[in-house]
Amino acid sequence: MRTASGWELPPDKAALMRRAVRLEWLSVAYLISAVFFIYLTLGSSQAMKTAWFEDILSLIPAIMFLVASRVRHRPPNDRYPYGYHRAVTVAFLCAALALFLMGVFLLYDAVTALLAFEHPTIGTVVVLGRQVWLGWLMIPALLWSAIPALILGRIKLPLARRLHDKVLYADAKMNKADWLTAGAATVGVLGIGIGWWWADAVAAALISTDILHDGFVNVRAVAADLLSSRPTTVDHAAVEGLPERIRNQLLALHWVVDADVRMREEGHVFFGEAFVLARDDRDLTAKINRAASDLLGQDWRLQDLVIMPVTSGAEDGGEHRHTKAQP
Amino acid sequence: MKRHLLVLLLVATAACDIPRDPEGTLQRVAGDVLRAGFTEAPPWASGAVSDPQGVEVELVEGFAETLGARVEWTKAPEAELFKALEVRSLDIVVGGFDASDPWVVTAGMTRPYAKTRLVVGVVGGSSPPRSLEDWRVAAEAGSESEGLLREAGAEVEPVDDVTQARGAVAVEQWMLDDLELADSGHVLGESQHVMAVPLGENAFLVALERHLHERHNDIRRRIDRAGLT
Repeated sequence: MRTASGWELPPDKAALMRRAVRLEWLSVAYLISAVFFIYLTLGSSQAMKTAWFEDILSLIPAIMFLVASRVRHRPPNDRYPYGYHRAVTVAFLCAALALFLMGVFLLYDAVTALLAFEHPTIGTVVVLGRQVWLGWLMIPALLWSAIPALILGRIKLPLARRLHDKVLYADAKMNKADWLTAGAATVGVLGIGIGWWWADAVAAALISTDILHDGFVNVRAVAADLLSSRPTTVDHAAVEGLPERIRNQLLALHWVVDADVRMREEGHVFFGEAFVLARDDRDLTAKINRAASDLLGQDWRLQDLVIMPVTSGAEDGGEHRHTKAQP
Repeated sequence: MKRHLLVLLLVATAACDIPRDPEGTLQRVAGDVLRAGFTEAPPWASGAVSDPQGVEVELVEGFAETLGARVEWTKAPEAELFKALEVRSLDIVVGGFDASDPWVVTAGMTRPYAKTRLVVGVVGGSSPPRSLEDWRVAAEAGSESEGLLREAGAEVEPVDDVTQARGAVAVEQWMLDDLELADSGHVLGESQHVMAVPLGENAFLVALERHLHERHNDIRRRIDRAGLT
């Protein structure tokens, strides 16, 4: 069986990838420390509990990225002729679903606490022989969960774009949004301090809405990837221009009358088929081979391109027809 | 510079005022009445409602004193006390509660202010049993210790009064001296003692916890002394 070519990344991208892997290891270590500090000061604050869950959940994309980074470069084989590029998509689906469900659960928790007029009870702890109101200790723990995350997110975002890595992108976005969580929880804790019992549950509801939103956006994005939607940019915001570029290059060849291209994303990389209507059959196989190797060198993300010669009848009524209607 | 100091001072005074009570319990109690409930649980709280006794009764009265308040006691079963606490008819409930007791977790509770242990006591000078499985241990009939001993594999001798038992006996650690027993090193259970307060009254809770913390050494002595009476 002819399998897809083995490599995932060109050398310069591989160096970026190594950097991303190092950053994610750093993220995991840092997040574990943030989870630990918040756990120490958890008390009975709903907002703290929700912020804590969010920190635990934000470990998942980072861990997934690291796991996937070990699997996805495995060479294709007879059993997996397209390689393992989509390992990361599968993992991402699970994580996005977890995020979404946790958001639902936490929102429910916060709203019921609010409706039941639950008053959060926070007492003192002894630190170095002094009694301190636990609320005062929650705030530094929350700051530690916000500021380094913000910085890590800012570093990871451009890396995700250059690597066309959607998991890394989602992870960076979540890190960057963490300051909102910490800010809301801080307001909730200060609210308890001045006797607004409801501030805590309101903050928790806000944070869980954010988790829910993250989960929903990610489930939708990953479902689109699994359905092999047309390739998008890493933030899912725009249509990727590569298929159209490849089509135009095919059209520029003197032996091509018409061409159409469809592509799908496999993790980092793109797989696709091009359908060409040739002027004549002379040396067609050699022409197609040359075109294929030229086009494959165009973009590091284009991993495999099958060029299929069609007759005009097939071109008009072929199954791939719909791809042409898209912008 | 002067202005900065002023701002700092303002922030500091505001911080001292935190946390506050959503329902103003501490302010209401101060100089007035502390409504306290207790349930029969010697040595923590016991006796008639007109003249309650016990370690926790004394602690609550001492706390009221620091607030310039007098205590109005109510004696009732746990179920009633905790319902009254939930609707804020009581400000504090005591009765030897452990931090994991099902009633207590529904209310607000203080940080554990004392820890007690349920141990196996042996007659001084006799060699303590290495494994409970080889021993016959006396325990109050129908008590938690009876069940814990059985779980630990000991042969249990149910008695009505542990103070009259001979040989190995399951008792609270603070009772050992009074019964002239030695600690065998077998711990059957541990209790983290807490008092129950209304949910969310954080200023009141912090004031109570400060009081309990200041009396920490005193509490230890009172618990040990409790065995004599």
